[in-house]
Amino acid sequence: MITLQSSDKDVFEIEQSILIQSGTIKNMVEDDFTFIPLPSVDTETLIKIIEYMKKHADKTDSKEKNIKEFDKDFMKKTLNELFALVFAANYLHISSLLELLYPSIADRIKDKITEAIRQIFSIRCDFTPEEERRIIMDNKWAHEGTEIEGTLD
Amino acid sequence: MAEEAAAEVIWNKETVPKVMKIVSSTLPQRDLITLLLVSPSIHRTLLSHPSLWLVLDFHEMSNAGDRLVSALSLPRYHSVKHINLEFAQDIEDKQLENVKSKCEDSLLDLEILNLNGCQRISDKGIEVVTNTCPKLKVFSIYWNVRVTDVGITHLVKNCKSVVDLNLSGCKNITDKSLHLVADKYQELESLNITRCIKITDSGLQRILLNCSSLQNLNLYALSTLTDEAYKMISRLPHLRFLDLCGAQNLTDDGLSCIAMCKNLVSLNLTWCVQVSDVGVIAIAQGCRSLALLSLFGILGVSDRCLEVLSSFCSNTLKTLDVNGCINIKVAVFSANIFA
Repeated sequence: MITLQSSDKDVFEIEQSILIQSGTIKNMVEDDFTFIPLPSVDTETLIKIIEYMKKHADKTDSKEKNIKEFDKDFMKKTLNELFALVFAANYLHISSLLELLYPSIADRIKDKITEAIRQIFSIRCDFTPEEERRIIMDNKWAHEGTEIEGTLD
Repeated sequence: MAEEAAAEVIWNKETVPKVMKIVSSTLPQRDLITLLLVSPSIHRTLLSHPSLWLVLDFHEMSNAGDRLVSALSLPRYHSVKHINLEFAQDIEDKQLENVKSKCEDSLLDLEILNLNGCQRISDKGIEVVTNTCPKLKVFSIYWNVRVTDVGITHLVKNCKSVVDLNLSGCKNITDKSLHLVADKYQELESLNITRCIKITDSGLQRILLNCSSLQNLNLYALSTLTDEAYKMISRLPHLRFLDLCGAQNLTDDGLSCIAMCKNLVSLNLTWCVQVSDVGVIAIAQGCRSLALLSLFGILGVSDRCLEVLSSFCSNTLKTLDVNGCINIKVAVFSANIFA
C-alpha cells in the first residue's frame, strides 16, 4: 500500500498495483518510497485521479466497454476541473488520462478564431494594437484564405 | 475584489498558458498559431518551448513557396526539422531557389522533407533544396515524373544521412539511381520504388547487396523484375514490410528465399500469379511473426497453405486476403482457424 498526500494534507492509501499507472509514482515506488506527498495536487483533483486509475487498473477485454462508458462520463467536467486534471495528469505522467484530456480542451480551440478562444477560456488579452498587428503580419502565412468564423462553444 | 483581481492575473498569466502549452503538442499547425495571438502570456509561453516549432505543414496549401519563405524568416523556425509540402501548390524550382537565397540557414537541421505530389519540381529544384539541408534523413517525392537520375545524384551528394527514401511513381528513375543509393546509403531503412518502371534486376540487386538495414521495401507494380533479384531479398535480416504486388515473375523459388527474412510482419503477394502452395508454405514456416498476408488473385494456392499458415502463424496473423483465390474452398473464413 502506498500513501498519497494532497496539497490540502489529506492522505489516501492505495494499492501499488493501481498507482503504477502514474509514471511519476512508479519511479518513486521503485526508489522504495511508500509515502508520496503531492504538493501540486489538491484533494478534489486527487480523488478524481485515484478514481480514474482504479477504473483503469483492470484492463481485461470484458471491462473495455465499461471503461469507455466511464471515460465518457469522467470527461463531463467544468473547464476548471479539466485544467486541474491536466496539470495533475501531466505531473504524474498518466499518459492514458492525458490522451483523454487533450481533446476535451483541444476541441475548444480547433478551428476557432482568437476572440472565440478568449471568450471560452475567459482570457484577457493585453496586447497593444501594434503588438497584435505585428504578430498577425508575421503569421499570415499560416492561414489559408479567410479566417473561419468560429462558433462560441 | 483584490482577491478576484489576483486570481484573474494567475489565471491569465500562469494557469491558461501552462495548460495551452501542455495541450499544444496535439494541435494542428493553424490552431497552434491562432493561440499565439490569444494573449501575450500564451505567446511568451509557447515561444519559449522550441519543441512546439519543429514542424512546418503546408500540405495542399496554395502559394506554398511564399508561405515557406515567410515562415522560415521567423526565429522560432530556425531549427525546423520537418517540412511537409505534400500536394502543395506553387512550389516549383524557382520557389525553392528563393527559399535557398533567403532562408538558407534555417534548413540546416531539417531531417524530414515531404515533396509528394509536387509535380513541377525538377532535378534543378532537388539540387537547390538538398544543398540547404545536409542532415536530411527522410526524403519523399512521390508521383513526380520530372525527377531523373540527375536529381538523385544531387541528393546523394548533398545529403549523407538519408535512411528513408520514397520515389513512388517517379517513372524516370533508372538503375543508375539505385546504384547511387546503394553505394551511398548503406544504412537505408525504408525504400519505396513503386511504379519506377525503368528499374531492372540490376538496380534492385545492388540495393539488396548493400543496404542490409532495410526494414521496409516497396516494389509495387514492378512487373519486369525476376527471381534473380527477388532471391537476394533473403539478405535483409531486418525486413518487416515487403510489397510485391504485381510481381508476375516471382516463383516459389524466389518466395522460398524471401522466407528467410524471419522478421517479416507484412507481405503483399497480390497478383503474384506464379506462386503456389509451395512458396506460401515456405513463408509460413519461415516468417513466424507474420501479421498481414495478401494472396489476392493467386490461383495456385489452395486450402493446404491455409492449414500450414494456421499451424505456424496463428498467434500473429491478423489479416489474410484470399480474394480471387478460387482454389481455396473454405467458404467462410472464420477466426476459429486462427484461434
